[in-house]
Amino acid sequence: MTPPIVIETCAASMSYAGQTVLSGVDLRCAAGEFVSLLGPSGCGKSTLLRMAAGLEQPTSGSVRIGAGGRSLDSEGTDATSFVFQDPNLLPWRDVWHNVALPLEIEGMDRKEQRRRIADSLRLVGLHEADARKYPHALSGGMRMRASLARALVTRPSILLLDEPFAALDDMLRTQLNEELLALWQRENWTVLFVTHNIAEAVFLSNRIVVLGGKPSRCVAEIEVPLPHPRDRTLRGSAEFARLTAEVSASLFEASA
Amino acid sequence: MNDRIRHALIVSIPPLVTLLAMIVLWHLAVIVFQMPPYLVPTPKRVGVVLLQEAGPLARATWLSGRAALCGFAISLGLGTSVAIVFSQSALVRRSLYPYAIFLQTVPIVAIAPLIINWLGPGFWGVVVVSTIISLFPIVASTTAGLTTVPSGLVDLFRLHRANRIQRLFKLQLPHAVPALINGARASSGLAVVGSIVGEFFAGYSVDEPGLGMIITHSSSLLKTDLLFAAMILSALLGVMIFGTVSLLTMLTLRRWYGGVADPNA
Ligand SMILES: Nc1ncnc2c1ncn2[C@@H]1O[C@H](COP(=O)(O)OP(=O)(O)OP(=O)(O)O)[C@@H](O)[C@H]1O
Ligand SMILES: [Mg+2]
Repeated sequence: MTPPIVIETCAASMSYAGQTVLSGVDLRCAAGEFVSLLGPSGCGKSTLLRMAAGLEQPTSGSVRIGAGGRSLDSEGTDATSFVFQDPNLLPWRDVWHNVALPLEIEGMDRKEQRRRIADSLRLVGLHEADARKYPHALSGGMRMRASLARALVTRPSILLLDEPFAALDDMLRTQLNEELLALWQRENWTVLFVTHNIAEAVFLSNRIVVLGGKPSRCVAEIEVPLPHPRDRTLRGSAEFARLTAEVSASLFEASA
Repeated sequence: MNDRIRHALIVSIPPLVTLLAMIVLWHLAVIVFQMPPYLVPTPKRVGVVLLQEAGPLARATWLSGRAALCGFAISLGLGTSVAIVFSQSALVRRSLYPYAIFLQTVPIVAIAPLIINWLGPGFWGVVVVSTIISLFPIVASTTAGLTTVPSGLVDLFRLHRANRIQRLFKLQLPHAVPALINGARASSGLAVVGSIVGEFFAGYSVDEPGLGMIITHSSSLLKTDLLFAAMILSALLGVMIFGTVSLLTMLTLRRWYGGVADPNA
C-alpha cells in the first residue's frame, strides 16, 4: 500500500503586487517522506512553505495539507507545525512558557501541558535549567532547539521547516541534522524542509525538489536513495559526493 | 555588593558635585551683583524658608503630589485603554488618532481656566488638567507598541489560530510593555506640570494651598524666597515620580531583556 499524499500543491501560483513569484508549482509529499526544497535566494521557497502552512493563499491553484485533505484554514488539522528561519521566541517568556504557548492557545489543561512540554524539551535535548532561561540568555543553538520544541509540543505529524539551521555554525548544524533525522525516523513525521545548503539537503532527504526559473517552478526532482540510519561517516562516501554534485548541477541550471 | 556601592557612588557623585557648584555660584552671583532679594534670594535664604515653612510646604507638596499621581494614574489607565481600542481597528485608529494629537498640541493654559469653570476649583479640576496634559505620550507610545509586533510573531499566533483576545493578551500587550513604560516616563513629568499649572487656575483654598498656588501667591507678593522653595519642591516632586517609574522599568525589563532598557529603540 502506498502512503497517502499529505502535502499537495496543484498548479499553485503566487503573485505579489503584480509580480509573479511562483507559477504552477506541483509538489507532492507522501506521509513519512522527508522532502527538501532547494533553490536560489528569492525564488519563493519560503513563500511556498508559507502557502503550505496556510499563512498565504495562492493567487491561483490549490494547496492541500493533512491526510483528511482539509486546508489549514479549516478547523481540526492541527497536526502541522511550522519552524521559522528566525526562532521567533517571545522575549518576555522563558523557554518553558515559550514552548507552552501553542498548548495555552489550544486551551489544554495544565497537567497535560506540563507533561507535553517536558516531553518536547527532552526530545530536543534541552534541560530543566535551560527551560527557566529567557531567550536573551540562550545561545543561538539553544534558541533553535526551543523553537523546535515549541513546534513539536503539539505532536504534529507534518513538519514545515524554513531554513531552521541557517544561522548556526557548521558543527552545530551537522549535529542538529543528525538529531533531527533520528527524530524523524522515530516519530514518523512528514517533513518539508527548506534549505540553502546542498549537503544538508542530501544528508536529510528522501527527495530533493529544486525550484528555479523566473517565475519559479519545480525544475528538478532528485531521489536520494541513501540508506537509513545515516550518520556523519556518510558525508565522506562516494555516493554522497555524487548526489551532492548532481544537486549542485541542477541548482546551477536553476539559477542560470 | 561592593561593586554595586561603587557603581552607586560613580553615578551619584558627579551630579552632587554639580549641584554644590551651582549653589556656590548662585550664592556668589547674588553677592557680587548685589541682587535684591525680591529678584533672587541667596540659597541660604531659601534654605531658611524651607525650614521655617516646612509644615505648610510639606502639606502643599502632598496636595500637588496627590493630584499629580491621580492625574498620572488616570492617564495610565485611560491611555492604555484608548491604545488598546486603537490597536484593534485601523479604522478607529485612523478616525480618532488626529484628535488624540489635539491633546498634545492644545496649550494647556488656554483650556485650564475652562476646565476650572466647568468643574469648579479644587482637587478634581487640578486632576483633570494634569490628566489632559499627561495623556498623549501614553496613548501614542502604547499604540505604537501594540501595533508594531514583529511579523514573525504575528505569524506564529496565526499559525496556532489564536483568537483576538489571546493575541491581545499574550502577544500585543506584553510586547507593548517597554513602549508603555517609556510613555509613562514622559507622562509622569507632565503630570506634575499639569497639577502645578492646574493649581494656578484652580487652587485649593487659600488656607490649604498646593505648590502651584504658593507659586502664584508668593510671586504676586514678591516673596521670592518662598517662590524658590516651592519651585525646588515641585521639581523634586517630578524627579521623584519619574524616578519611581524608571525604577519599575528597570525591574520589569531586566528580566526579559537582560537589562537592555529599551529593546525597541
Ligand atoms: N509579503 C511580500 N510582499 C511582496 N513581495 C514578497 C513578499 N514576500 C515575498 N516576496 C517576494 O517574493 C520573492 C520570494 O520570496 P521568498 O521569501 O519566498 O524567497 P526565498 O526563496 O525563501 O528566499 P531566501 O532563500 O532568500 O529565503 C522575493 O522576490 C520577495 O521579494
Ligand atoms: Mg526564505
